[in-house]
Amino acid sequence: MSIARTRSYEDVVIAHAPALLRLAVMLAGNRADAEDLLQSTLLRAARHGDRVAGMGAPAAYLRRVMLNEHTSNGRRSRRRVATVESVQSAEATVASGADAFDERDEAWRWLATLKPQQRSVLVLRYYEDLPDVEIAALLGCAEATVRSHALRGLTALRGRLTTHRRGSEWT
Amino acid sequence: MTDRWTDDELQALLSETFASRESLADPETAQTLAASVPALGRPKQHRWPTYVAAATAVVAIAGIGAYAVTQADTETPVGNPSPSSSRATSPPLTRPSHPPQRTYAENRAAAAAESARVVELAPLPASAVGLDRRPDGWPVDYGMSLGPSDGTLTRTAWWSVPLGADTLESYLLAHHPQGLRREDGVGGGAVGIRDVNYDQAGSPDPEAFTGVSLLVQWREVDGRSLVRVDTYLAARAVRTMDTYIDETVTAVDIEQVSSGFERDGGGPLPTVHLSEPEDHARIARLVETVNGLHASTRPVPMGSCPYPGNPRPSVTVTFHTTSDEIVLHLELSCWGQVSVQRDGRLVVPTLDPAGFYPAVEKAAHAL
Repeated sequence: MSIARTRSYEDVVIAHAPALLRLAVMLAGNRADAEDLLQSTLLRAARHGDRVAGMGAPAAYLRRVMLNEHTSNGRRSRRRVATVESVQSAEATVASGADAFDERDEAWRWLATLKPQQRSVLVLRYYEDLPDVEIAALLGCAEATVRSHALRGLTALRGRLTTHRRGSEWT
Repeated sequence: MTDRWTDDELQALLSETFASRESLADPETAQTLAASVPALGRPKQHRWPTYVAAATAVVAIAGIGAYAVTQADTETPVGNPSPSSSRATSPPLTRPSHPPQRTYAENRAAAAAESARVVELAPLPASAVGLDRRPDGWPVDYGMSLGPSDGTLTRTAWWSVPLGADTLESYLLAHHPQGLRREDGVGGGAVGIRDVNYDQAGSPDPEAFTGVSLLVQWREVDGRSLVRVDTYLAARAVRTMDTYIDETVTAVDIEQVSSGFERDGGGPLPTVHLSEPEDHARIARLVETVNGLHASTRPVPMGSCPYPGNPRPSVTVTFHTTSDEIVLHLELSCWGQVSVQRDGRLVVPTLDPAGFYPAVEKAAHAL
């Protein structure tokens, strides 16, 4: 098999960087961490730059590297203390514009509380619209794990929204 | 909006939430960041030692924990081994010498027996008292399911535990059912019901049924916890010999339709052609993967169908053999199954896709 290699690694990553940064934002939850995630992803992938440049679908490979980086970052950051300020500043960067209770803001805050793999599942399912089998392949886990994360996510989000809505109605 | 959000509403909300944050990703910033990195891909440049140091630092940091679990799948640069060396280590391209002889009914019976065994494994304290039916205080319409599974194989048990919900949660997190593992923490629903699930690391009889998931749910009522325990699994069809590849394979064509990032396009990827003897190792691994797949579960799981995206992602692998043309096709959606055709004739059963798609990706991209 031969693959024509007419692109450089630089061509590939520049072409895909905007989409990768969007994915990074969804995974990391804020601009600064997302840009760090993008950089570490590209640096790691650059170790096999020629191979990546020759791939038929380099975006899939780069996504996978980013998801691994995200999971690893999450493992590292779990040892840090997540302050209320850091969560608030992350979600406040782009507010929904609504004055009252906004479910999207609440969902974004809730997403910040998830473990990396569960957040990855929700991002890939509901942002990237990927089917479970692809998500499982990207994350290196079983499809059952993907479905479990998604199911638990929806259940937890339902509970959180219900609680907050009741709270907002009562005040 | 009512208090009770539907799954569709929640899914739509998550999609809207993510979309509303896209503006955090500035395309120009992304491209600037990308342009600052790629020199590493050219090891002949004089800046290489500096970048190696930086990359090493990243790897050292990222190496904490279980990174190695997924690293091999994503970036291990496996070169094309020489035909002679690969032949020495490749698995033989033969069908199993001992094909399964059981029937689907026997597989179901084995699955039911395992389900009945596992439902008794919930790690409850000795003070738990078994109940013979759903107790008062447990919502009638509240239910969860872990799929894909066959509801007729689910076994349910009810318990009453003289512990509050928090205490029981601590107990459950500290105890594991024998032979099962917990990958997640405790989940929570809107009606005060908490849950935790445990999964078998693998099915004890993988040709007969899937591994069992054990779901434990509990709710505090009057200082006690009401507990519901359910098992989820599915029996497998029996794989027929026509679904195995035992002929001498001369070439393989891999066709993929990528969903990719819809906003960035997607669609058919260039066909990858593998041929003997140059690509023997990759062909052998693909054949080994196909012959190692299990038959589909019954009922064939369906969910989220039809796939809402366009194009519909799929994988088609054509094995050219000395006697037949065998085509395996997988729609990467709807929890799809791998269909098998021999010379245009569909053979049964379909196959469980676990492991198929990653193997095809590796073969196609020489990963």
